[in-house]
Amino acid sequence: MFQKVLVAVDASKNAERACEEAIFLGRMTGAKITAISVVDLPDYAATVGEVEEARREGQRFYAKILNQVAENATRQGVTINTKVLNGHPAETIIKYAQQEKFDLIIMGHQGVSGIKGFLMGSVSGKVLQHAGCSVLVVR
Amino acid sequence: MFIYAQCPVKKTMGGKVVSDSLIALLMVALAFLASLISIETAISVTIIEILMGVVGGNFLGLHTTTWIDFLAMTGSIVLTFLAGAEVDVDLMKVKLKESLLIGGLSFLAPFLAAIAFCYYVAGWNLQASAIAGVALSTTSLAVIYAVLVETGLTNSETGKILMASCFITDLGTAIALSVLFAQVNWTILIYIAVSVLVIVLAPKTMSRVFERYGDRVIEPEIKFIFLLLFTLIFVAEIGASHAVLPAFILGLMVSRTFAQHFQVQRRLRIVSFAMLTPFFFIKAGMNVSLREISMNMALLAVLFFVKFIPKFIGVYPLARKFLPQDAMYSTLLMSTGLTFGTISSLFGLNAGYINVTQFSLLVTTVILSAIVPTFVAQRWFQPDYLITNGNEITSFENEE
Repeated sequence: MFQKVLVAVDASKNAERACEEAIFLGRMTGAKITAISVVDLPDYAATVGEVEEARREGQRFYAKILNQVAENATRQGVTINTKVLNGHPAETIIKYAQQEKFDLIIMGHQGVSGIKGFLMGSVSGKVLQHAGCSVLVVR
Repeated sequence: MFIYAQCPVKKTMGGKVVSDSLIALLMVALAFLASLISIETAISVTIIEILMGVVGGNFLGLHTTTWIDFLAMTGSIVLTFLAGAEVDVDLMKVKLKESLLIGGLSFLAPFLAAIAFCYYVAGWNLQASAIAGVALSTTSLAVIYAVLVETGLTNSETGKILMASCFITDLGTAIALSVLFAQVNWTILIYIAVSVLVIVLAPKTMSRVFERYGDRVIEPEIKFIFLLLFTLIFVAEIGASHAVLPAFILGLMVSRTFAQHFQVQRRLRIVSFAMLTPFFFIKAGMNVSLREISMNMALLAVLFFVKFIPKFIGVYPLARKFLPQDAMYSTLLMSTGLTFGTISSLFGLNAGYINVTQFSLLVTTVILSAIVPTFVAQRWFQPDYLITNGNEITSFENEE
């Protein structure tokens, strides 16, 4: 059975469903749940300030979302750790899962940026392909 | 659709009436589209705006006007000022020896190599070769910084030395651009005297202005910064020079004050990114000729290596000495360039030192130098790092 579960959260409906699944799993099995969001910093920026501002805005944006996730989990009797990270989403999720030894990643099928997913491949697709643990993709 | 406008009056060209408002509409449409693409792809708006300019110049027949030139020039000076203001002076002092050596060679090696190559091999004249030397000597702190934040290395030894070295490279570029193209006559004395006065008085004056008049809706702090920058631009014009070096040093001198006023930084960026820098980057793109690039692909490839190989030769041995565990990674990141390279190239084009072909090659090389070394560094030489770059969220805190 899964002991440590990582759920990847962005602002999408699919991510909300992924969180619901993670909370359900936590309630049923007692698994430790961690929810992360990844701030995708701009590549090839003109100024340091642009990068810093993107980081701050991303932190604030995802902090609100993760707070709601944590509150929702608490109402259902589950404790969730939450964290906002910086980096390329797929790589960061995979690396964090390996580093912290999660045995399951739960994530939404498609995130908020359909265009980026179309051009560069979806985050869930990359995580499915490269993660070292089980991955549950929620639609 | 062919759009051609050289002066801000309505004129008829080939039966079509064009106006500044139409040009402005198209420019802003391109800038807005660039913003959307940037957000959707998480690629900095800088590169997208340049690409929009390439589309505008090569496919829409868009040409620059005097007012676009002015906004673009102002945008470039603001970017230079911000580059100086983002310098962490304390970090530079702590890592002075390493940064002087790595940053100095990171500037000097490609600078001399590019001049030599362009002059003796590519057959460019001396001024054009000097522009190439300046444009290809740069290192992009912003590109490096984003990579360091992602890997959580900003506070590591590697990160500190890389950032401090970037400052030195940027300073070398700014000095070279100003000194090599200075027109030596009595007017330059006015330029130097006033620039020095502004730079020396700015730190204390700025603090007082911010304290007494700050946090008002009418933005006196932003207007004060523009007052200083336009003073430098004006005296540079009198001295037949360019305000890059004084703007950079001004930024450096007020960096501490600036760091203490995050909101002022933010609002200056808002003004600049909304209405100034897009004109600069789109204008740069508009002047890139795809036809000339396609006819000079071999030279483009060589110019890329003319930038990269001397950087490698200059930086790698020192990186092995000071950053043995991350030497190749550091060397690759120090090979990136973007903003200063574009500023130098556009300066050369505006001043007539380089032609459209040379400009197209230099800007494309600069953009490639932002993308390729970063990709290689992250793909094959990324240090093994622990993800500690994030924040635990226990409750929402307003950082400001």
